[in-house]
Amino acid sequence: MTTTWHADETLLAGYADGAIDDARASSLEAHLLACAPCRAALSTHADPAALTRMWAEVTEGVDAPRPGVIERALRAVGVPDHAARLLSATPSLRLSWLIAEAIALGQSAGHANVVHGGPREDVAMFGFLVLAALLPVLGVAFAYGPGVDPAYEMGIAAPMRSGRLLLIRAVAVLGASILFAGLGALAVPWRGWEAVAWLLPSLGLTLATLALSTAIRPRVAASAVATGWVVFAIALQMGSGDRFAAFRSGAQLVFVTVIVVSAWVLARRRETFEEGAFR
Amino acid sequence: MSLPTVQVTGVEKSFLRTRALNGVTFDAGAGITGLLGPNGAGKTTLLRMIATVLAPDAGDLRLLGWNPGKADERLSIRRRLGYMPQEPGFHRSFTAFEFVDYVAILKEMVERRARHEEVRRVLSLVGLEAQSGRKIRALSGGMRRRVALAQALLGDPDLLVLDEPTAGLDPEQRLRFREIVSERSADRTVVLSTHQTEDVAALCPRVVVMLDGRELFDGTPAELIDVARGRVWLAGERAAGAHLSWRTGDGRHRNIGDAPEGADLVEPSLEDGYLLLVGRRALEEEEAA
Repeated sequence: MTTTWHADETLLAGYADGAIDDARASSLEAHLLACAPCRAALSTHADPAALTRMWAEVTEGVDAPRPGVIERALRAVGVPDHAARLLSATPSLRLSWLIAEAIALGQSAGHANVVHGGPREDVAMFGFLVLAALLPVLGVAFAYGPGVDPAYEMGIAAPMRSGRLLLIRAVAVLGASILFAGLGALAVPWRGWEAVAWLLPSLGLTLATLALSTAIRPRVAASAVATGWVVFAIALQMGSGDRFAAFRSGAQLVFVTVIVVSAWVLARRRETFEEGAFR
Repeated sequence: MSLPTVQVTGVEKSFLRTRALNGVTFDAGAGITGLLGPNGAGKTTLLRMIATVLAPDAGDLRLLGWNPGKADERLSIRRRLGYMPQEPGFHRSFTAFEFVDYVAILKEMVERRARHEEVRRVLSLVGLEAQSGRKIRALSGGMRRRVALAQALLGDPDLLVLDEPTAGLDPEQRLRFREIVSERSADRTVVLSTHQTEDVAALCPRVVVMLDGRELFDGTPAELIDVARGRVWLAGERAAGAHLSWRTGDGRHRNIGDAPEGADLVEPSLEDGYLLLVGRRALEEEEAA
């Protein structure tokens, strides 16, 4: 198609300055698409720095990839884009993991709801509480480390602190677990505070896993803590005859102590995360 | 005179009962240093140490003038380091762009627009701009290696550590790789390992041949070629005194070893020098055993 007119200098200057109205700007843009001489003439009116900025914005807007579901969800709740990307690379924050976690906790709490008032309610409730405290430990085991994060070797050679990355991921994993377990607790409202008796154990066990990870690999630490937790819960039940002994006030105090001690160990030994294979 | 960027002195490393490095000593300054050696020679172990992901059991390591055994100095090294592992792992659900962007974040590039510009730059350098939106799991092996190279180039590092960077690349991609690396080597230090003697001949002003966890040769490619000078000849058949011999495309045998009187000597290649060096040592060890 051949154009029959050309934009005059005043119009081009006004367009470059953003001083003309939208209708005239749209009309001119349509013309510019087909008219090379006018495009060339426009370039003499534009500030090169502004053009570079505008081009960068256009490139960013057009080329920036659309992030995945988890990353978009994290950004939607206010997580900065770089932190969202770091979290979206967490194996235990993948959609499949989160769905499995939600199903496990939902099924466990749902079972307690279904058998409400029956002889198996306590058994189902015990299972839900043990699982709710256990899942964040497993999540931390699969959050970061050699053999877990496929890009670990490239990551460890980068300057970002590994301890920080592990903590960011552990907090997100714990947050997701608390959210799912909290929703699960809504299925057994008649149990009162007992429905959230997993909270301190889950915090304690997660922190204990992180503290142990300063000395051994996270997966080994998590395995030890998870085994210890299950043995502790069952042994206490068998020793006291109280199915929920691991969740009573005495045990909750133990977990407060575990939280304090683990936090202290983490603070003291956090530098060991930076050593990677240098430790 | 400035200190070499990489100083490795008497470094040892064992994995259980296997001794991977056995007192290796070498240094590298600006330019490209190529590590050559057979599988199990200790090249990857040495490069992982230079990339600060592995600690030596004994010996001394200095990178960019710092000691990687000290936390704060290690951080300083990592801020100026680019590393491409031999078997790079990827988050396969990421696109090429997202993965390089992820590593850029680990490299402390937080500001999004500047970071994305840098990601586009390095993807363009390795010729992957058109594939930047494709999932890693959908990329070929060669393309994945280019993604790994791209992340190593982020931030234009002063020390570039590349482990088998040309493995899996087609000839055109290898030429592109040579172009990228040679452009960066004028005032930066590149240490790479390879099985491709042509890469060393084409790229490296300096070559270190490793065998059994220590350096066997340290010099220029011309010096490595000289190892085989007067010791490569063509004959109608495999010669009795040859350490190595193979039938070439024209039907004659290329023999490497102690040439007999009147042999049809030919100009040796870097590969001849390397094969003679490694083969001779292996033969000596065999005889000693």
